[in-house]
Amino acid sequence: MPEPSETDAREFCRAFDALQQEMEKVLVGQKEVIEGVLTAFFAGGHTLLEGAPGLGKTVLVRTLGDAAGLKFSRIQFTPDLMPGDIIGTNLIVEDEHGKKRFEFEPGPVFANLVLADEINRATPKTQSALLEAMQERQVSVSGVRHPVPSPFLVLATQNPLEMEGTYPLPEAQLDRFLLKLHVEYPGAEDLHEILRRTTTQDHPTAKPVDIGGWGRWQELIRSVPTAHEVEARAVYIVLATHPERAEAVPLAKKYVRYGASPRAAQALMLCAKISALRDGRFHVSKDDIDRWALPALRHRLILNFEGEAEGITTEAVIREALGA
Amino acid sequence: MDAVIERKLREGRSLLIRRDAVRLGAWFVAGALGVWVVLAVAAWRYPAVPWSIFSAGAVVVVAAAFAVLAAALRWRKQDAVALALDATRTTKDRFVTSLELGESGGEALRKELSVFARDYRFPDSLKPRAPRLPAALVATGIVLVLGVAALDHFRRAGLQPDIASASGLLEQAKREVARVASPESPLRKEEEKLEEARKQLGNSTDPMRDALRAIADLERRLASASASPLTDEEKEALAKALAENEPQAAQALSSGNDREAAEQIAQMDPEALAKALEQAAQHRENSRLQELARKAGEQARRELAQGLASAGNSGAQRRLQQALREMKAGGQGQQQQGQGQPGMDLAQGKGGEKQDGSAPEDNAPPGGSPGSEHDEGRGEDIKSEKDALAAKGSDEQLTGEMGQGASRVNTYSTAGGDNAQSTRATRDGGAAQSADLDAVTPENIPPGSRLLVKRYFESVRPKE
Repeated sequence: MPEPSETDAREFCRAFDALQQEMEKVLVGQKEVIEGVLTAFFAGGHTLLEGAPGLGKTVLVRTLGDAAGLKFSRIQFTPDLMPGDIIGTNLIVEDEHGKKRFEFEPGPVFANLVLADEINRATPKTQSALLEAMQERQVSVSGVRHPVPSPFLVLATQNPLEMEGTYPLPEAQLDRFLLKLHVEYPGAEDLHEILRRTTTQDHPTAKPVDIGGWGRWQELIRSVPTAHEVEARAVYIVLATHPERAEAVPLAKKYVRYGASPRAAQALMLCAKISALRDGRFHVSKDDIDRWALPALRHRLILNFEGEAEGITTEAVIREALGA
Repeated sequence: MDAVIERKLREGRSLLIRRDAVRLGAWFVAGALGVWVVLAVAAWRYPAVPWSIFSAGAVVVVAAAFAVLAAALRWRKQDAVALALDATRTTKDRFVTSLELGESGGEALRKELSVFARDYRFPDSLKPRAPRLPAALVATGIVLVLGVAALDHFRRAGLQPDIASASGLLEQAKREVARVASPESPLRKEEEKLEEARKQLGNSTDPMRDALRAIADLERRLASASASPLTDEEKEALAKALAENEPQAAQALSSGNDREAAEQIAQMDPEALAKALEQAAQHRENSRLQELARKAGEQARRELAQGLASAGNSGAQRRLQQALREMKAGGQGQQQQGQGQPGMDLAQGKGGEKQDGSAPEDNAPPGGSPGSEHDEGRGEDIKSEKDALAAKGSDEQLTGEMGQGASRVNTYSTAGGDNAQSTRATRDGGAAQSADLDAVTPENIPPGSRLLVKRYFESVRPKE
């Protein structure tokens, strides 16, 4: 594995910061969400954004596409949306000789950045259409595999599940999201700024930023070393959410049905490495891991009936695992 | 590993050891001082408990040494030091990382770790600071130590006159022993014991009591030593048995001249003595004679001669006993005068059964006399105090007495409550009661109760 160099690290930070600044030109507040989305973007993971309607989720993803200069597509999930509407379908086409044949018409999933807007409004069948693309980076239609372009990142938005007309995402699909970020309601100052930017003629837009090759950063991030003692922190946090494990915290033992999967530990480490690089370090610290515990684990825990009945949140379990 | 990081780890280890040594030391010293104070209090109350004011310093030094040792053992490994330094949350786990990845992590990592270590300043949380609770306990312990030392000092200072008196008493006893006992007498050993007791007075909480006890012990030993091995009846029986063959010995025994009898018996043929003992023992069952008769002739002769010789020499011992008794009485007088309390029980468990307050006889049984004189005084004093207290606070039961005047019975046919209008019947009764009150008032009612009696009659009087 190549060793991370100071130059690479500096350039990475510059690219990250440039993207962040461009996005903050358009989006008011939501600094943590922007940082989370960018971290997932550089880590090569998918992001699930949850928040009430009108908080700028769609704008955020669109802005990222604009700033990163990547091919962007948007899928509005509705109850009558079919899987073919997402991944594409075979159409009968007639050539110049009058012969008819099937030709694959790619769906909106064939893009670098796919915004799955209000993903929980579609039926589980349609939601599952994204599964293969998210994990395998390919879609299969009529036995033929079609690879999606690289990078391929799904940024899904969803309304809180208790709202009407929504379908909870399958656990397998939830696990494929690197991070789940909560989009909070803006404060008064941010609202003033939103009004100023959106109701006047001074309407800012994001300009494309040269990020120097997405694939390059993937290698750099993965080359950041981690001490065993620090890695043990990630392992502990994940195991502490498993009710049957000795490391389980009391809340997990009582209210959790299934703990976080190994993907959670992977997500923790990747995000921690990005944080370390951004902090000018070439090694991961426990603080970096703790920093990403909530967004990386909150959607991977499944509470039992008692936990849901008592109103326990997965965040409470994770905070207990963190010792907070 | 980078030299700078290694140096920082060494410095960190030193800091951690000092921090823990102070922290543990505070607890250890607090605990040790606690034990020391308990021992001090126990020693103050019971002088037999081994303790010294100077041991406080040793306690502190030993506890501190243990704390340093424990701290050094805890931080002997570099891994533990690195983890502890990283746990301060000021290092971003750089020390742990440097231990594991310092060599293999790449140039950028090595440089970063080295720069960090060079500029790193240990946080204040690592600096030695005594925890408040044990520090307060140690401070309390030191105050207690000083308090105990001061009390000990004042107690010893207060006891000096007593020690001097008690020492004088024992010196006097020694002089008496020296005056009475010949140079080769076994009584000379008693001088050494008295001197030993005199030396111990410095550690005593009650020197006069201990001096009196030493004298009482000596007195008891003397009484035991001066006892004859045979009773008068046994001597008489043995004299009869010896009358035929050893008339001089028989004569000495009959006349009570034990010393002469001892000399004669010492020169007798063991076989003849054995026969005489057997003959005398036939008429006296369960006696010392039978015991002697069962022994070999030579042994019996030696024991009997020694016993009689010892009893024959008891004149000097008796004079000494008498002198000791007088000294003891004088010493008790001093003790009571000095302490303002009744005499102490010197012979508790030895001969203190005598509780009737009678004076001990000169020839009282061995072991009974030394303590009995002291038991009685205390018992009487306590009893008399109790009686006096009881007499002061006792209640007096008074008996009723029938008077001589006319009596009258009133029965109210109608009820009259507190607020009811009175009827003629109750008014009549009320008038009678008024007369009753007038009759009662001149009686010899205690002044404190007079108002109550008056209020009673007023309350039962019908309202107008």
